[in-house]
Amino acid sequence: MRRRVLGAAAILLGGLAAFGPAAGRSAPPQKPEVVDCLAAIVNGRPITLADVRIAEIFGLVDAGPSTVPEARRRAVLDRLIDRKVVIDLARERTPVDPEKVAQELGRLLTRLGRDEAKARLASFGLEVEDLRPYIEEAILSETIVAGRFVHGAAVSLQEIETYYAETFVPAQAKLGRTAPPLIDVLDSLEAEIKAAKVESQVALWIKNIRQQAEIEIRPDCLNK
Amino acid sequence: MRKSGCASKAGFLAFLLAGAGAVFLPAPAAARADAGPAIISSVQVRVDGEPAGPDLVNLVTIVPGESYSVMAADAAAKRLFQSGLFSDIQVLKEGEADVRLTFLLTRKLRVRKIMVSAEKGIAAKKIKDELYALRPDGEYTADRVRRAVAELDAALKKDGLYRASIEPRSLRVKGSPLMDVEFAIASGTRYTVAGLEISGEPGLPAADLKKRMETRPGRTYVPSVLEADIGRLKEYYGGAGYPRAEIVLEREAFDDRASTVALAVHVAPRERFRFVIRGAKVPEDILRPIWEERIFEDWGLAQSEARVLTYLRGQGYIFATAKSSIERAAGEIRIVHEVNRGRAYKIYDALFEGLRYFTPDALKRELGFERATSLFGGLDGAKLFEMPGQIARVYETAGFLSTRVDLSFRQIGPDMTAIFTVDEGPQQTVARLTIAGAALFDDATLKGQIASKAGGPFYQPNIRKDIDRLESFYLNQGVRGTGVTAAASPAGERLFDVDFTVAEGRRVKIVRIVVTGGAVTRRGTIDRELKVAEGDWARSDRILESKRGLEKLGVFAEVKIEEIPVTAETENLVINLREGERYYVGAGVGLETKTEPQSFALWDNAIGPRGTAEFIMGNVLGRAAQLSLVSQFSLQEKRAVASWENRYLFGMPLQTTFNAWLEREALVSYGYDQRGVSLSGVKALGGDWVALTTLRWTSTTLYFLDVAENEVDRQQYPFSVTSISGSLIQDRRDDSFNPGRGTFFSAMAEWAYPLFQAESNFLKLFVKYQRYMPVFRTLTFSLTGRLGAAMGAIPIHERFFAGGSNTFRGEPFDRLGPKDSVSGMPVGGKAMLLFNFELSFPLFASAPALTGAVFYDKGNVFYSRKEVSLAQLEDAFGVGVRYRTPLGPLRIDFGWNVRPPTGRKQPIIFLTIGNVF
Repeated sequence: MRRRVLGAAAILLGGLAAFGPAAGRSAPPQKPEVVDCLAAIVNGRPITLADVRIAEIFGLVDAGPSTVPEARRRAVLDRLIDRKVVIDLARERTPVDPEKVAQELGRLLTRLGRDEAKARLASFGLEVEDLRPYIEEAILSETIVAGRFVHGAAVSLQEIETYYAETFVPAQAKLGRTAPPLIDVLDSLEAEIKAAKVESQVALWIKNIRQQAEIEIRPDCLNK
Repeated sequence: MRKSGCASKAGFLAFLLAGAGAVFLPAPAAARADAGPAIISSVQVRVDGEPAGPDLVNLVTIVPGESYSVMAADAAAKRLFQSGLFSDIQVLKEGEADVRLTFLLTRKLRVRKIMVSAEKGIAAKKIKDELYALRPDGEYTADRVRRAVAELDAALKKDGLYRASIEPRSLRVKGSPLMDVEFAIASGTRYTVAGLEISGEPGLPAADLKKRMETRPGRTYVPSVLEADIGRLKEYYGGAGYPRAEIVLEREAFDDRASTVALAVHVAPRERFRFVIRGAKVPEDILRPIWEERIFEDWGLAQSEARVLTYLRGQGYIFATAKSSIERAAGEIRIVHEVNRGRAYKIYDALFEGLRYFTPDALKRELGFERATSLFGGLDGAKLFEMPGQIARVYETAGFLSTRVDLSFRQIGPDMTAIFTVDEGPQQTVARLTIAGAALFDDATLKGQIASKAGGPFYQPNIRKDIDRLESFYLNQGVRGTGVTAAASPAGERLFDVDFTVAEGRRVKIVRIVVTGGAVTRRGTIDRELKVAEGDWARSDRILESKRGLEKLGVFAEVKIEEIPVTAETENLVINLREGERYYVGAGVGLETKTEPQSFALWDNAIGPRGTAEFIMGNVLGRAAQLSLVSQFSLQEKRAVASWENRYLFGMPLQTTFNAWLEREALVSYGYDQRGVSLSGVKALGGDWVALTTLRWTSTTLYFLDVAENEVDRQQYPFSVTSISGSLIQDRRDDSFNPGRGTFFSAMAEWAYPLFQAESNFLKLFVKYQRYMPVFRTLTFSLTGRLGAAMGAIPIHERFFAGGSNTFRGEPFDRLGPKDSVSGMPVGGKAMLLFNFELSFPLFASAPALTGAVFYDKGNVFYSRKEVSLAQLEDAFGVGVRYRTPLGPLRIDFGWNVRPPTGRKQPIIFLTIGNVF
């Protein structure tokens, strides 16, 4: 038994020595790892690499469809910057309802699963409570945006007709369905167009306020 | 046992394997976390590549022995950034269970100098003025340099240079966080105006418009010049009755091959307006801006009428009325005001009737009534009509929400008195006031902080102010994160219950005070200004007081204090100082006439050179003291003065100046050599009062004398004086150099006692009072009164002399008063009485800095106090011109003595800088 264990260990060690990066040499000293740096400074306030990683790993922002790590990280940083400029524009920090934050935290933990959430928290040395400021910031930013675009966007009948003819009907045809008459889908199409319009208005607004803000992005930090 | 030994060895191998795997294979984060808490074994801090000093190391709030986590390192990094000292921070980690952390910090860089080097023809200085992203003394970052390049590019385009190459070069000043930045501007294209078209329907002749423009075919195209041209055209259209004219650059067609540009300026004159004001003279300029935008005509007409009436009331036509209408004629809109202006009155007083809550004096104080009046001009008629609204607002703050105020006038003799009849109405009061949620401070203490009280007036905006007061109180007690809300609810007729709710934050202690940037200044000098210490509560008011104290030292160009939270109940105070320039060298040369100028022809005057040189060294020995060496030389005088100024005297907060001097001066009757030392202390007493105490020792030798020897107490031999003097000064002028309103008072008593073998034994008193006041709104009247009296044996150089531009403008310098019977030269006196009255008035509306003046001086110097007689006062009058400069007015005065002792009829000319003092 003892011999078997030793033999297996020797093979494993040999294998590791052959395929490991330090094969044939003594292990070089480990290169120090950059655990944190300044990824961006927004109106004098920092967003760190740790902030970006936490937001990414816990899905605290919409990082978009990209699967390339660098692009994803940059997308996460951009969303964090958006939040900060929106909050800065509102100037006065209105308190966020703690109930809402607790609900959002609960949803997040449920989505990740208890064990996965625990592992991710541990990897950063985080307590659940440490996520609270990130969630508060997200809620505050969303509240400010929603407050600004509370009236939505006006949609004309002509726009609905054009959307029906040029987008909706071809999409239904592609799915092999006959499009229902316009009158039946009028409300849902209006809501769809309105949502798309608001989304583009929000994006344009944020683009404008980003131009007014003092933002310094440090791409080198993100790639560490 | 054996078996267990085998198992143990096998386990050891497995551990080895796991260890090897950990070395060669990336372990999942969660797996690492399961290996137990990593402990920080060391923390290193490097600033700009060098190991940091202990002060900066102390800023890192993570220490060896603590558990390591990314979050803990991140929190430490953020706190470091919050200190405002660093532009970049990186945290490096080595080891897994035994973590070695290194903080790599980059100190924030500042701009020392900005240079713009440009090819000939580029106005480098003008272009440099357009830089905002980068400023001397401002922060330096690569991003700011990029923005500066964009700003320079925009400025160059505005100046007519397109596609210029702008190369920034940054150079770090060795051993300091300062950067010099140079922008080299080269090449670029300039365009010549090939054509200029006026499009649209200009309404006015295009040739006439083009004549008013600097931008013309054949000239280089400069967009900023075209912008100014458009502004000029708008003004021209405004003056021609088209206040709404739209003039824009319509087309800018560049031809790169020919380097030309064709321009088209579009003009749309819009409506033509004519202002017809019948029955009074009112400048149209005050009405035109109303009609520049498209507005509701009824509103515009009401505004226009209000401006006409306000203007007339300001002129004293308080009963002016107007009937206004809009008439439309072919192609124009006429704004017609038919005015019945009535008689102009002066209003010297205002009476208040119906007051119960306020006394008339209290109400006047609330309204700033004293400031609204001017001598002779009385009350401003236009402002009187605004006062009912102001009175109602004052009452509102006292809980009277329906106060009505009527203005009427009562004629008393030729003048009018304004009568404000006040119907106060009912008052809202606070029935009950509570403060809930406070545990750190008792109810009485908190209630003592706010203005609202049970039984007192209730006014909603006052509650907001009380919330601010409570929050400030908590901050000043070191409590952070306190939120105060208030709710007011009706509790009966005009009664309200006010309930404040305090969500107390945490009381924060300062654990560490870190001072950075004071390279020269001693820590003791800095600490002396700090009103907080390590271990104290973080009281905001004391932190602010510390900042002000450091700023008052006058040695720092910037003082920043950041509060960096360490835990919920502790914080670090980071004091970031930027020391200013320490050395100042100045020199000046000029010309002086030996006597007052006899004429404007230079060759008719005895002219000699005059010069000054000074060297100032600030923050001497790091003690925030200042050493200055000043020398003045001319044909008349030579002087060298060394001064040492300090804010403390033997640790006491007393602004102290030590002077030592050597001087030689030739005056009218005598010349003297003097050496002396003095020590002065200045202390602010509050209420604009300042006390000054001076100890003085001088030794004076006369080196020429043009009066009889018996006029002098001690000729040829040094005469030494030891004295102590005390002065009280109150300065309430609106501007020390160019006052237009306010008073200045000083009273000085000097006692010279024969101490240290000094010969002096006299007492001198000198009182001065000045007042400046506006008269008829555009004029300024000033008066100065001076009284000097002395007793004891006073040597000639300590006596009172007068005559000249600052005392009595009917006599040359020092020539007023008793004269030597043989030489006719002044001998000075032991008493002096002087009055100066001056009225200054604007000469041209377009040059407000230039004023004219008429003056009347009255006074004399008397041999002794017993000889003082009002009948013996001399009179002088004159005229002058003043030009306002930052150092005071540059004055030319022509003074005539009413009874000149020599029968002289010519005026005496004085050219001076500064006011009569």
